Amino acid sequence: MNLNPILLKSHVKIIDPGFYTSIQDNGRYGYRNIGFPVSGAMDFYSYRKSNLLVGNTNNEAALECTIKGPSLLFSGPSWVAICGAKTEILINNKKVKSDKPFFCDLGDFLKLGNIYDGHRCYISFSGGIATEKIHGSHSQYYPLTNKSVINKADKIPINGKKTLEKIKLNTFNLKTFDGYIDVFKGPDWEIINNLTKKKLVDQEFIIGSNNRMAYILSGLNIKNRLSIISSSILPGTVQLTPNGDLIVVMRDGQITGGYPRILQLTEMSQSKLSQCFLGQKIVFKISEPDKLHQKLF
Amino acid sequence: MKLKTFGNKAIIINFENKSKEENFIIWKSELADFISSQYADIYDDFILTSHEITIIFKNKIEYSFIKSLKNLIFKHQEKKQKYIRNLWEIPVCFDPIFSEDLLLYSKENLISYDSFLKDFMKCTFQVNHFGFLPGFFYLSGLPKKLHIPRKSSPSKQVDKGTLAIGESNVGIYPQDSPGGWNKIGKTYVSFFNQSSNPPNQIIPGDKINFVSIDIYELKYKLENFSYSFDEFKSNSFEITC
Repeated sequence: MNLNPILLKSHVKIIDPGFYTSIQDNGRYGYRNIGFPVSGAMDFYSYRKSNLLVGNTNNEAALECTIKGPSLLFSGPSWVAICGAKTEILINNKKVKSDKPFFCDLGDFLKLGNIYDGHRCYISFSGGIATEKIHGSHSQYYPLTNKSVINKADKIPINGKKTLEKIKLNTFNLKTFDGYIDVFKGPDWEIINNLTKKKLVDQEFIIGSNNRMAYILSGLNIKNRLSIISSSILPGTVQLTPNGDLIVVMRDGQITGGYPRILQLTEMSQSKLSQCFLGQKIVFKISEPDKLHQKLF
Repeated sequence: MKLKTFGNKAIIINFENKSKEENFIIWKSELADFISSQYADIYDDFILTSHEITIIFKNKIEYSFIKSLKNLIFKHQEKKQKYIRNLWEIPVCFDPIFSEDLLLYSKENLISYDSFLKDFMKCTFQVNHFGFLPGFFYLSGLPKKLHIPRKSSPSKQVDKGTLAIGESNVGIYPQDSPGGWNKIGKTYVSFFNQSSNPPNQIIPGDKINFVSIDIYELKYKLENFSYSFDEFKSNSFEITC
């Protein structure tokens, strides 16, 4: 008999995967030099919050749900918390609140609805999701992992810790979205012209197509012929394309690119942007370089 | 050499003119390894490109990082060391069904397809850095007359194992993917082994020669892919820098 320890763990069975639900932790580190994207939770703050609510402090893997949440059937006990954008949460058809841990047991049916007031929410389980780590991370990214999302009928192993450790959440104040995205000047800021610089701070940008790789923002309407030697890019890097669109690199984005890197989102703003959806408007707010920055330039 | 911050957790080391020096590729990748070994506790990742190293730290950059980083670079510059790299011979099939973009380019630009490939086969390429996809490496060493501009609109799918040219760079697609480079051939060799750690078989500074195989050999090998990567190793070489 095959006594694979993973098979002996309790699990959640996916009855409906929702619109785009994937397993994510804090990301895959130590491999960007060979071209791996970092991956990991897009809204890192909501992910951490839902984890802390169920006593997880070691970047345990959670489910990241986009646009519409999944429906899950529990094969064993686990504390559960859901944070991020809003959604209707039902356990065995009874409503429960987000941002608060609740207990699920064998046979319980958890159903999430459409996601609103944001784009993504996170479901954390006490002890975390227990899928195999691939190159140091549970985060789904194809082809490093077999699939990029969870599918109907998948059985996702969970550690299902029964005790709930209470952890103080004093650092969590991700306010409702105010339309502002905080940025630093990017490494190629100096090569863009003054009109572009002015428009970047003065005007609104509209969110176009977006996914875990990138957010496209339009509204600049200035064409350019700038290109740079293929250079490093990070999650949160804003690249300027020749037709004037902006590409904001996200967690599954490439590690190098040939468009000028004109801005860099702060970490909090990467979380904020990942809660924005098609058609929404944002304004950039540039943080002045601090003393350290000035010394380097 | 110039240091620049990138956000509040990363530092870019730009080498400017040094990038034209002989052995720069190996020197740069060894410097990145040296820095990462010294910073094991405080750094997350590094990214190499043809002219820069980007170091990504776990926490906000402090002024002390910059001072110590400058010291490390200085130390690395001072001590000349011997490094070993491999020369690989990679079988590639240049059958026209795998080189449609080169066929088109040669027709449009009145260049002989055969002599292009003949010149290409004479080149020895060097692995510069990784990027674009997991395990995708950029090869330098393509003479100017063989540069082909990137396609204006990318192909929806480029197959795994496709050898392609994008401007001055040569690369092999490690997985099926959309791509804007020009297809010129196909190999059955997989440069990326999920189950080994690290999963890349080739490192920056390694050199590659391509050897031509016919479509029957390619098809046979694709269907019976049991080979050890070492069988493609031609020899090792040593440099001091």
